[in-house]
Amino acid sequence: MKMSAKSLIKDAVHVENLPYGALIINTDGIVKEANEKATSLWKQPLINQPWNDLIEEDSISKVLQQRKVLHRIEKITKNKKKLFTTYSPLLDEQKRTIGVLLLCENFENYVGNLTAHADLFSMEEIFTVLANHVDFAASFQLIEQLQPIHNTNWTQLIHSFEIEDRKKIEAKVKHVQSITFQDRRVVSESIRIGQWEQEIKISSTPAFIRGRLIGCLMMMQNLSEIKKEAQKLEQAKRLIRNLEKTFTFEDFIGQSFEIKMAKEHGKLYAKTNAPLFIEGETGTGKRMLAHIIHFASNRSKHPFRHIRNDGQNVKKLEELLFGNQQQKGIIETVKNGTLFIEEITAIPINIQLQLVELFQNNKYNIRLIVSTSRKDIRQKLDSKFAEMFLRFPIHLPSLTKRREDLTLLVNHFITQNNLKYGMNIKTADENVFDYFYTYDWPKNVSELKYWMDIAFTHADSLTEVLTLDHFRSFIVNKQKDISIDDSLPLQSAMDLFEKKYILQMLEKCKYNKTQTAKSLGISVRNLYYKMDKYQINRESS
Amino acid sequence: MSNSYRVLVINPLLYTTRIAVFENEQNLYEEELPLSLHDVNLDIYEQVHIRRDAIFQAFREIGLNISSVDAVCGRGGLLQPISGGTYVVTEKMIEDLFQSINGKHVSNLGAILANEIATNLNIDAYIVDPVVVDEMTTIAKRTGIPTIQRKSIFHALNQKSVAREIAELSNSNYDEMNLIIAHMGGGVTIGAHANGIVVDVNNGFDGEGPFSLERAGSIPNNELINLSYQHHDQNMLKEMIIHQGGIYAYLGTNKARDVKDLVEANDNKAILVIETLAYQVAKEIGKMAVVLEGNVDKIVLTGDLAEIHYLNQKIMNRVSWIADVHEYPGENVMLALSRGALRVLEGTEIPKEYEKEIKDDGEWQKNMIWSY
Repeated sequence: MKMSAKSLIKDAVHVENLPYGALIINTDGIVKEANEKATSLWKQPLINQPWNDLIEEDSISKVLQQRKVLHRIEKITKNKKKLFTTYSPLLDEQKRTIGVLLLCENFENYVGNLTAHADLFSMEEIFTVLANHVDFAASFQLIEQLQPIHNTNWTQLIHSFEIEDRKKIEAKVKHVQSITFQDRRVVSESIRIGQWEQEIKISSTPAFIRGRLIGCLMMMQNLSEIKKEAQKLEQAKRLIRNLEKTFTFEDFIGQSFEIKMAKEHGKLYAKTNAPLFIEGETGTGKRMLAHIIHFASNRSKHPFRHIRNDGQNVKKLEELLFGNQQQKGIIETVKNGTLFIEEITAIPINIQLQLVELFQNNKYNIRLIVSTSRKDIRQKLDSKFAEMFLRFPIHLPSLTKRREDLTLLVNHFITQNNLKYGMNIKTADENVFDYFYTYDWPKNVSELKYWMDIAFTHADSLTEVLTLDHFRSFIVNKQKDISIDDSLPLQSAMDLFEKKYILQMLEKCKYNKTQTAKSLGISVRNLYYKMDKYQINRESS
Repeated sequence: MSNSYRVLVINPLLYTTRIAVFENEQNLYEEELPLSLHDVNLDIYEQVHIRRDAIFQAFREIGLNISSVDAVCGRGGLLQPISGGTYVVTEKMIEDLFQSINGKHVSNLGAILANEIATNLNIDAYIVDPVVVDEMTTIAKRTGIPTIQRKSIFHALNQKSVAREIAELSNSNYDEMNLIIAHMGGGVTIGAHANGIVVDVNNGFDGEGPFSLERAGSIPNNELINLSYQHHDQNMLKEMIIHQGGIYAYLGTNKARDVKDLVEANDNKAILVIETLAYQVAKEIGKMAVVLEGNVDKIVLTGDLAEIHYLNQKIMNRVSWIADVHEYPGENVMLALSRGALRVLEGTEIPKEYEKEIKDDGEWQKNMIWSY
């Protein structure tokens, strides 16, 4: 019987159309039978060959010992081909091991059959499908595979870089990956590449299945792009605030001490209901500050109205404010809100008195903000009015008193105008800044804004740096001020010259006062006196 | 130099508040402000301050100047029946809405929210052509049972908005034309507009006229009575004819988009259903043509279902002998509301007062179950 069982198996191995390579291996580990399929897998005769020699790792002894069916993936020694192998120990009636029946199949075929008939998909297939549905650049590295699987976003992103930079990125990816495999944790690192120094962030997460680390998921982001989009959004919103006049404290550009003080005062007063008085030269931002305070206060849900005195006649102004038969006055429409009256000195006395009466009862619950660009106004106003409304002043400095803010302001207008006019200007050159620095800005920031707008009309879409050329009409205008043909009294003409000369010398000596005084042949003390007289900024440039 | 007016439009929906800012006819800004998962479950009247604050926040976010708004316009809610037009929001209106005098629906918040914001800005709040507009003649309302009257519930806002557009296109005025407007969507209403008054229209909500995406429309009385014996639960029966009838009952969907796709894919069942709808709508248009004594200037097909060209074609085949037929598919609630307010701001229309317009014939019924 022993014989017939053995011969049965022997014959079974040679069954036609058996889709597996079938071998019989004896207890010494030698191949005793092999079908055609097996022979074709190895492409060599197999009879009497030691099984050890045919495959890379040896499992025969294990099977013979444990007498249990074993499934393994074996690799053919010669060509490293993968086989899905099933070892079945052959036992006689006395349950003694007489050999091993081995069935093997090309691994790819095995997987192919499995996936075709079951609803199983390979990890690669599943990952590729999923990964191509996400927004970000993703790559998956299985621990035992050589090649990672990229989604299309990853491939596109990589290819958007120069070859040199690609190598750098790939090196970084490998580096991040190795840390992930080693430490089995999330790793995230950035690298700067390219001539624009773009920041690329590469992060990696280990993937575990049933407690085993099987690979890692990598993600790549161009942070500079993301930051750029966020910046553009911020700029667009800023432009909207500019057009709608819904300014915030951030929109008021300036880092100088005086401006910071004014803003702090503003923030404080915004929380109160007290009437405010904003003073400063023309173009220093009084109206802007009034808007900012309104929108920062709890009256932001209520109306804001602005009255400008164009020297319109008294009756019209009265009607505008207090209304008539046909129309409601502004006072009524701005109930519970903020009313801003520009250039308060132009308001005639009788209206001032009416306002005093109105606010004494405060029937309409209005917050009043008034402004002026004139000095010494108390004499021009009714005393009761002055007492009531000038109690809480905010002072806005002239541009010449805060020259250190020039750079910030110029850059701000460049950014804003780029957005408005669709241009790409990066900055203004040194000569422009130098000129701005020495100019005395009679109309302050509004003048600067005006000239920046004009400069943009002289530039084109290819311009990247503004030069004095773009400001030529500005300079021509200003130079007229000091032409000799002007009919100035002698002292004024001499003062003008003295001022210009001192400025030139200061520049030459890089604002070193000792140096300058020496070159001018005057004492340092005298120099300071003259600088104050001509309102030349004491701080060095 | 013509003036430029800004109108803030508020359309409260079940899970979100839709707002838009129009500068004259131009939509400057439109946004959906969704409610949080928690707030969605609150009673609608408790949602008022949440929705209101979300609107203020949205203005802040985008940087729009709320102080520059000239009027606020909300979607009309379930008020007592009134004639069509732009109404200024008054205390009585707010009271009736809070008390859900004619039903409780999220659109009741339209006037309430508009009022909250407008009061802060010392400007006026308006509503335009709510769904309860009733301009029907007494003869149109009488039925074969003396104690039962027909009700006017229809898509007044879209119907009148589209009617005005066609009037402008025809170089005429809405109140000088006779129009038949067929709105086909969640409900189907076909109205006879005689010189700006909707003298007759089918009840698009609970049981008259053609079927729609989810309404069953008119059912033969006897069969309906038999049906009510099978379903003892009155609410369930109403649910069947209001939300589970029509196209939904035949095709399993109540989305116009799905129906359009099915028709374009030549799905036999869908085509049959649409052909039936076309038949019913055409008949209803014919009815209204008679109401207008044959003097019809134009017929307009509008609403989401009017996006299905095959449907429009089939209707046109049967009614083009009455008058020219125009297609205005879809509906633009926000634009219609802003136009209503704009007409008042520009002085071309005088806003009506709710108290003066309430139809006091004592016959209108309060039996509406609005299950939101």
